Amino acid sequence: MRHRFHAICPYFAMFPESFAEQWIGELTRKGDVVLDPFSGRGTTAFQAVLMGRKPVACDVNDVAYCITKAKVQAPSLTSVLRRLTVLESGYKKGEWLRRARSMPEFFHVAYHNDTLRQTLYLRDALDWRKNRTDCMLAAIALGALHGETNKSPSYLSNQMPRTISTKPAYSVKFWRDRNLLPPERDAFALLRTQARYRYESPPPEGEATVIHGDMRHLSWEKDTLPGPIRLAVTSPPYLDVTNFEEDQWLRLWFLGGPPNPTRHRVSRDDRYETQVSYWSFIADMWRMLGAVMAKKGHVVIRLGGRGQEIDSMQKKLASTCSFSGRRVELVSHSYSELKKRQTDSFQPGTKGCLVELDCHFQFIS
Amino acid sequence: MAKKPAAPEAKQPYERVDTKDLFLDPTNPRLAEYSLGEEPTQADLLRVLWEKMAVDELAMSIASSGYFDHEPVFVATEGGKDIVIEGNRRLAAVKILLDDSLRKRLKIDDLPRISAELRQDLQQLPIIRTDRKSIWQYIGFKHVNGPAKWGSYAKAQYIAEVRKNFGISLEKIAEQIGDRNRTVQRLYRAMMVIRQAEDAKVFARENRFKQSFSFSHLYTGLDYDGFKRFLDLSDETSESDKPVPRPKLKHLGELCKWLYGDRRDKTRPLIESQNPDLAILDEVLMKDNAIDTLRNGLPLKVAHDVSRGDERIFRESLQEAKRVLQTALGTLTTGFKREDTDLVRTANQIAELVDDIVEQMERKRKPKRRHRMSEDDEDV
Repeated sequence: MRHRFHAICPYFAMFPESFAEQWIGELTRKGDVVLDPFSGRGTTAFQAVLMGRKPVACDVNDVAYCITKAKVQAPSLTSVLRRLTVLESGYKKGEWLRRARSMPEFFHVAYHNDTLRQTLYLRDALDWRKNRTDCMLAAIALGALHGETNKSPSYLSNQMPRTISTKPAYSVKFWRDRNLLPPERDAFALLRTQARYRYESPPPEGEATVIHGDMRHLSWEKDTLPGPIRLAVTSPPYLDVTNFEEDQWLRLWFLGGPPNPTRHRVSRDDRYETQVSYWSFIADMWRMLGAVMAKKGHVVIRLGGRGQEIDSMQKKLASTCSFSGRRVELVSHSYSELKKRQTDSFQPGTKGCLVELDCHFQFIS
Repeated sequence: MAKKPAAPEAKQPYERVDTKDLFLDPTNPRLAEYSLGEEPTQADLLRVLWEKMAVDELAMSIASSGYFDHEPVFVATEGGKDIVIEGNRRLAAVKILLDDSLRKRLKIDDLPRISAELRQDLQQLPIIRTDRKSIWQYIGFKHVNGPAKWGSYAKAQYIAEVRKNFGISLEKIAEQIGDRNRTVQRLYRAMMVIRQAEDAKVFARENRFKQSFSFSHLYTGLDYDGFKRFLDLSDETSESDKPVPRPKLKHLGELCKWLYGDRRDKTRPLIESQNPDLAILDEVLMKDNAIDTLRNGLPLKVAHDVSRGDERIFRESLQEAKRVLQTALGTLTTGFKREDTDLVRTANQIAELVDDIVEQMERKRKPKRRHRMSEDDEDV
């Protein structure tokens, strides 16, 4: 059975665990250190733990950090359920009326009034940055925060995509045009059900390092890492496909951010948004890899983009590896077309990634 | 200061010829960059002159002040026609003022209607009959090095034609038009390089990405060491009509694509503006690994980073940041408004970046100091 932690919370532009599993199995042994500098929902890191490797995961986005940390440093189910009971007993519905009323219109159409109050309470109470149990609960809540309510009772919100948060004005119009009302959900019960469901797969044991920050920090932190990195499996942000801050705005709100989409607040590096600066951004990734990778270490990169010739993308990626300051060889590459895209269900014709490229590099020295 | 070549002697008063019997010059160097083909029609010539050569300003001037009779056009009789070889813009302006159907065809609706008296006056224009060989110095002085300069491509076209048609050396041309900076040789070399590229079919001007043809990118770049090295270019004093050796023609094709792009595969030129992009490209062309970066389709900036190396990038980035932040500090009092909260956030992000940089620099200087980023977790 697929480990149920994998799907705690979806994320945009995520690769399947089979991708990480294949490369980790092929290129590393038990105990080896495996890196994902753009960890996203933590697929590489979690798969590495499952396979007895030591993952190092890094992401600047709060949502990515929370989900990854929850998966690879999971508390016991007992502590999760106990914490949920404590939280539920401390919830006073009346105390959250004014706070709920003060929320922007979006929240009143997205969530049933009772659900909104519970969600606001949980947002306030969960100390997800410092506490492993709260981090797991926050990750489960992020996964339940919005999704396809018409298909599943596991979501707190009115009908939304599960991978990205649609913008407030668009969402409100979408719901009103279709007379869609938010479902009445008990957030505590839903989280309890979800926690039990997720923990039907036992949490793996193992050492894992999760860094909340800019991947460029990794080269400075290499002395604190569990050892030289044998393999990096990663998928950097794709060029101008999604903005992980704007497109995850609702989950970022739940983790303490503002109640509206933002740009350039979470990440101080937005270079993946334009063609000219994108490759400077990728060059920085190579500089970091040059500093942290073991001798003869492997790097597997999945890259995608819109309107880019795949051969051209592969050439550019291979060319930028010179910024690592070391000799790097392109061992193999392949590409695949994307067919099923989440955004198509809600905003047909929206821009997305059409082609993905996988490149396997090895450091020669 | 060069001695101004005298305009050819002419008897006073000037001969007057019917405007309708005067023809625009299809070999006018000004028009060379517009790819009008082998035999452009008078209408084609008129359209380009109107759209690209500010003929509207001349037409307005003539409409309000009339045509100055002491400014005759120079005419050569070729193939039985009176071709204007100097004064094409003036002739175009007069023809447009006289002919309403021309105005309609060119969609010109902002010129004043002229009086019957002026219309009558413009039916004929003062001319001096001559031939091209007799006045090449005069035209060269006026348009290449003198008061009414053409664009660099027109100048180069003119120099190439004078050399080819009249067998005059570049040195002699330079001397006659008062050029002391080897401009003539450099323009000629650049023209020969473009022709080599087109003859070898590694470049075609009509495939360029942008509408205008920026000949000056090449003309200027060929003086730079990186360009010379990349093309193994002969010195401008050689006066060679094949300045690029045959083995380097492929490089020439690559360079033209970087300078001018290619509309067929939607490749944008690397040179968006001559300053600073041309000098950056020159630096890139000095390093083979940086050239490979361009060949792989990466932006000019990335190739430039390869050519500079990280030590120089780091130093220059810090120096540039300091310079720019000094400007920000200087304009804060007058340029920052209380409601600009986004700028407060940006300033804080800059402060964070600076803190990171300083901290890491200090750590590098004291390598034994340790710093852990991960937080200790507590379970409930």
